[in-house]
Amino acid sequence: MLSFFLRRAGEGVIVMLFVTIITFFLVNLAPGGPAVMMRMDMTAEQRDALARRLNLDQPVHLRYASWFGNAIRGDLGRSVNDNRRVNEIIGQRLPVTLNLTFWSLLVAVAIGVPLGVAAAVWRNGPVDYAASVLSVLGLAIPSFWFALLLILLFSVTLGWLPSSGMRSVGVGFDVVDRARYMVLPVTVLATSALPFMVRYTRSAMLSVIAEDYVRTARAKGVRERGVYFVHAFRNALIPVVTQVGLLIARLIGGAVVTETIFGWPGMGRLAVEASNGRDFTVIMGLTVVIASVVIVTNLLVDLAYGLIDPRVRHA
Amino acid sequence: MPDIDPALQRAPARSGVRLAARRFARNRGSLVALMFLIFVHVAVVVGPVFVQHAPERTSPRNALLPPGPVHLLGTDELGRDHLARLLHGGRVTLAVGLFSMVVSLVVGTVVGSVAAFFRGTLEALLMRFTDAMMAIPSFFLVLVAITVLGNSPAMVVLVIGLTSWMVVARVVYAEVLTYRTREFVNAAEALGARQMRLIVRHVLPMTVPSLIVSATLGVAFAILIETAISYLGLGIQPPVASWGNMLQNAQQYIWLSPMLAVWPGVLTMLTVLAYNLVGDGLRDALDPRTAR
Repeated sequence: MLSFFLRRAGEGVIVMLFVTIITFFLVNLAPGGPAVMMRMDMTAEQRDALARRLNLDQPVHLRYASWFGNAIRGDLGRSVNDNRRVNEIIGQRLPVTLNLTFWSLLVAVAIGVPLGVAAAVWRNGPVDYAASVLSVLGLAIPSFWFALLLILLFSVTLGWLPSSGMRSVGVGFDVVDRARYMVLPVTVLATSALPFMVRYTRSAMLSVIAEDYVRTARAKGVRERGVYFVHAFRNALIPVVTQVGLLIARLIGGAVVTETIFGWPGMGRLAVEASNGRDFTVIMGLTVVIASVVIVTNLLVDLAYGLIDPRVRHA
Repeated sequence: MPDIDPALQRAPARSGVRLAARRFARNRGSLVALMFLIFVHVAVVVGPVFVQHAPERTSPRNALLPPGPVHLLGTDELGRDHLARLLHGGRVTLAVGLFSMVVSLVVGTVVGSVAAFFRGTLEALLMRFTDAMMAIPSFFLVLVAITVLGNSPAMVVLVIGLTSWMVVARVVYAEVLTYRTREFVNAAEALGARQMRLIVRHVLPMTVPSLIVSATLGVAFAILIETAISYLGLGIQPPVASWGNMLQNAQQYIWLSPMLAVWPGVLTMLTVLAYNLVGDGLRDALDPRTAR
């Protein structure tokens, strides 16, 4: 188990290296350099000084090396455009996005897994049919449009829920107030993950139900409920847990749209702002943080295998 | 030479395709979806011929008109004909979807088959690269790439294609790994076929069924990405219409003309839905083992 985990952690480090290299060279392809370089109110000397401060006179691989050296010591540098520390900027935004993705994932799992199990148990029945219609629609609906429809219905027409923001102005921390602001964004983001949970749980359950040991359990007289929940479900969980790990990247990507529409000051909106402002250091910082979240989640998923499946522990 | 019924002669080569087509046709949902897709594609290609209005021509006096005999679906906030914009926007959105899929299919096939065929360092490098690309949320990467590289339609296609090939690469990689040790490949190798020929003539054709499925699902994915970035104002730029950027301003005028917000969204959703259903139907038809 330990060697398995260490090998996966090592792979994670290599993936991280690739990710930063891809993004670094991508953002450095930009014609004209960072957005501040194109400000009209600077003299040629100021421009040169700025270029030197940003090390733009060095070749790109050296700049990557110095960026990497700082990043590995936990220093993501300063924003090109407003000179604030990137660690600080992202530190403010990260909790917002984690909050949004955590609840969305929780909702998607809490609804998707039971629905997938039910669809597999009553295969080709009305529940299965409803689940498949729901997941097909969920996969096809553009999330920004779904958000528009929800805002139109619940905020504009019914007036039940706020259409943007994270809390009421002038109200201190209040669980009910926060929850009201979370309903729509979490619904939108959870809807993008739900179909995957339903489909994977269903097909994992179906393939497990077809196994010999399930037939054996039935043959020796285990009740149907016992067959499904003790013998089948535990084994079906493994591919489902993998799927949770893969969904993290999708959810963080979806957070870009969701946060922008609902006006949440998270990393997704920061990504839009930083891209528009060609703020290299902020983009690189976001890349590191987002990739870390994805890689660490997938490592945790690998650990979870060991808890669910003793075979992995002894491998 | 004995007389052989020409239909019989051709039968073996075609039976696979014909069987798959029959299995596909049995799936009513996929069949309806396929007909819808054909309808939408024909409509956006041929439709503009029948609509007199130019999609980019503004006419402030005729802004936000309700549907009527002159403007069948009404006009938007700048007085542009909504039907004309829907059809032209559909051209752009569907073309971006299709071409992005082609890019991702080509890149994914090359990466996957090269990794599987030339094992060792190259394989490790390529597959870790694939993992790395999967670890960055593709929407984030698209966003950064488009703001850096520009947002002409061709660049949008390239960026979406270059950020969505990883699933194809994984599928091709897995399939090539299983097929390259099969007897027919060994036989071809024993006959002296070069590596290139082995891949292109003997192994890759076996992956075509999976590629077809990946392709249909890939178009759906690319359409969703394009509409989302264009909605955010970073993708296809007005005055060129796309189903995504048509929704950009719809939010403001949702009370006056709610249908402005409805049509592009409904069409996007139905098209993506149809591509997904056709993809699912093809998967079941091409590989009966996975039929549920």
